[in-house]
Amino acid sequence: MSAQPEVVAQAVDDLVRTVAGVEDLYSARPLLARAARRLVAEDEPLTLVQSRGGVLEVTVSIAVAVDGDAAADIAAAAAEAAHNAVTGAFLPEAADARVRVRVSRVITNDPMPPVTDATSTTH
Amino acid sequence: MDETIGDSGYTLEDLSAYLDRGRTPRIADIETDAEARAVLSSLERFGALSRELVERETEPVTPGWFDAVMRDVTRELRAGRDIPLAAPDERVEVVITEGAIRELIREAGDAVPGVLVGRTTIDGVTDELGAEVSVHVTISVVFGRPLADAARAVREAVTHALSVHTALRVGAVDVVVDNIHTADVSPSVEGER
Repeated sequence: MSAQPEVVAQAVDDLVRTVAGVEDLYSARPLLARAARRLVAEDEPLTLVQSRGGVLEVTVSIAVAVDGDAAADIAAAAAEAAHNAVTGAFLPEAADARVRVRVSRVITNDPMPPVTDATSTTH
Repeated sequence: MDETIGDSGYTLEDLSAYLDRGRTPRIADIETDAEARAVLSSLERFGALSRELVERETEPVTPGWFDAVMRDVTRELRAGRDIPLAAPDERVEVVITEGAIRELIREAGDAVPGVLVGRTTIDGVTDELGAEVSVHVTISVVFGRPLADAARAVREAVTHALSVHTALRVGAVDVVVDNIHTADVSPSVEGER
């Protein structure tokens, strides 16, 4: 069984969205291609899956919401999920697939460290 | 400003016209310049994509399409450099955009009572994991708050945020107080965002 790149991309979208802390996905396509393709395929997957020289390259762009967790940990979990989705698609190139996760936004809900809140009026 | 591509001596517009003419007569300065040839290839790919769209008799462009494209443009313009984060293994590359880090810095600074962050810059070579950077932040401080104390609190908050959420080593956080505001938010600070 094998899958087309767009099917793999959709599988990656779906699995990465389930990762705790992943708040949103953005299109990973280059801006120009994104604008053009949006004319004909509004609902296409946001993950970009390309085969280059027999190697599958998967690019995911995400926003993470941190609530005490490190953004890097959430991104790493997203990368792991993306890789699992690719492997599960049984593409011939999946074994050596390269996954790139790009954190495009960090939404902070975690408290910052205590800061001095001096109220003196002296400057 | 020199707008010619590579060492060809020709601008993007020249290359586009050259392509439209079918690359004839052949211009050696273009054909022998690697950068110019790469631009020609890009233009050809884009032209092919445009033709494909026309052939598929697409629906007319909707108003929402333009808004969506402009949102994308805005986000990409703010993205800046891709800065490495620690990856779980060698099959995976994880990066965070400079824009996301700047947003982190802003949120950290704005969380300090009486402080509004203006401009943020990240200086340093960020290509490698654990690169050392210096951060420059301008802030506005509410009238009545000791400035040195506010600056120190911002420095601590920014250092903490970057150490938790990025792999960057923060060498310095320079905080410049360039404005004092009253309890009402200063329009000049808002305008810098």
